[in-house]
Amino acid sequence: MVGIRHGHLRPGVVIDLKGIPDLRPAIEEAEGEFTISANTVMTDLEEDERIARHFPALIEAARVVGSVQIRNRATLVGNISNASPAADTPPVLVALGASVVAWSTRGERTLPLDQFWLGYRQTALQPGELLTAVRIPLPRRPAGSAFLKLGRRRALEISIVCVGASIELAPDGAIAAAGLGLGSVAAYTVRASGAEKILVGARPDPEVLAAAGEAALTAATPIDDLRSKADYRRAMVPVLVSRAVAAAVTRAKQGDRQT
Amino acid sequence: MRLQINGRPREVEVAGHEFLLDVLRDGLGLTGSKECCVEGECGACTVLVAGRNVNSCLVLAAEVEGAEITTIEGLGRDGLHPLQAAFLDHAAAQCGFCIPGQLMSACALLDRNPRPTIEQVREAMAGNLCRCASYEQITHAVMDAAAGTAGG
Ligand SMILES: Cc1cc2nc3c(=O)[nH]c(=O)nc-3n(C[C@H](O)[C@H](O)[C@H](O)COP(=O)(O)OP(=O)(O)OC[C@H]3O[C@@H](n4cnc5c(N)ncnc54)[C@H](O)[C@@H]3O)c2cc1C
Ligand code: FES
Ligand code: FES
Repeated sequence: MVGIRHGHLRPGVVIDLKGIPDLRPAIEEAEGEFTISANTVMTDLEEDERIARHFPALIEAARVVGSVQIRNRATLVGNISNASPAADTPPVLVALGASVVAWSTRGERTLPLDQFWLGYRQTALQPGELLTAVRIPLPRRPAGSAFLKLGRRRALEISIVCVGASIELAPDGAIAAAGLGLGSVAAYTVRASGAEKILVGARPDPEVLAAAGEAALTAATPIDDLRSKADYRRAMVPVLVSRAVAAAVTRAKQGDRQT
Repeated sequence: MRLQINGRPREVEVAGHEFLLDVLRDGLGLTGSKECCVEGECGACTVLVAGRNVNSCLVLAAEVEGAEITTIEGLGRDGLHPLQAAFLDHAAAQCGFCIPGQLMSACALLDRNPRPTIEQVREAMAGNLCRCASYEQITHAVMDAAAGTAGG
């Protein structure tokens, strides 16, 4: 919209997806997963208690997108399709193992979110395809998630680095599953698979978290831009990753005690 | 196209690419909503759509056909709205340019959360910039309006 407003985007046609009844705001839980429809805005997520209970990191990320005015219009699917490397909700959605549903007159396909972005502002959508929903699987074990964003001010801030972490714990307290998404450190939101591998099977001790933080750097190819130097971003990734994982672990333990 | 504005249906000619702010100001003469950054940063253009505050500079008029739209002109149609009284009490308006947007965001906040904390007020109003830096007065005016102690 900002691009249209300033005239550097001159679309021949603008399609208002908010007018399509099938895509109206809806957050539904069925068969072990949550489906969030294309027209669901950040405010809808913030107001949903089930999302807060199962995916606290998604609320944390939705809550820092722009201002209230922006969050009342910004859809989750738009935040994904916009394909900005600095977007706030994508690292969380990658960490949670989300997938997106792409629809065209030729049919429907589901693809894992970490295969959706192909390059800077480039997505796997074919001409004629649009996203109708985001799906997030419900964790099967005690789970917790967290989102951390580093910026210079609190409101209306594009992040310097942001991290989404999701952890599932085994009965013996070891990490049974881990998801880590990184924003603002590459051409698009990336998964830190090296760090995930270090976490899975290990106990969430400080040394393990620190090692995972360092390993996350292999997924980071940051650049210098007006918000930050690449070196600073590289220095912050391990810190934010280990803190986000620690917060997710704490939540997983708390959730376990409540149920 | 028919827009429902401040409780009244209004017939307007709108092209597909026209933004709500421009239709309000130029098409309907409702110039209370201000034009400033036109990119969602400042909040001067804030109006309510179905009770939620949005930046009208980033909403196409065609997107809100049929939805109830409230502009600053619709606030306090029966005398001063408590928020307006509180803004006066606190002399919150300096140059006044940002005030319509500030009032609309405050209104949306109090509709959803009638007794916010001061932190919640600051958070909810973060999308409304004030060049005159009247933030303290604005924040306290909103708190007073919430407490029902304004205009006394
Ligand atoms: C002032 C301001 C501050 C902002 N701050 C932040 C911030 O702090 N953090 C952050 O993450 N983002 C921020 N944003 C970005 C923006 O709010 C989000 O990217 C938003 O979620 C986009 O959603 P939308 O529904 O408005 O999509 P649109 O803007 O309408 O669309 C965005 C892109 O996605 C495509 N698209 C939309 N829906 C679909 C679909 N269903 N299928 C296929 N393609 C689709 C569009 O064609 C377009 O290319 C900010 C924006 C503004 C204006
Ligand atoms: S004019 Fe719309 S947000 Fe500034
Ligand atoms: S009173 Fe002047 S901009 Fe706010």
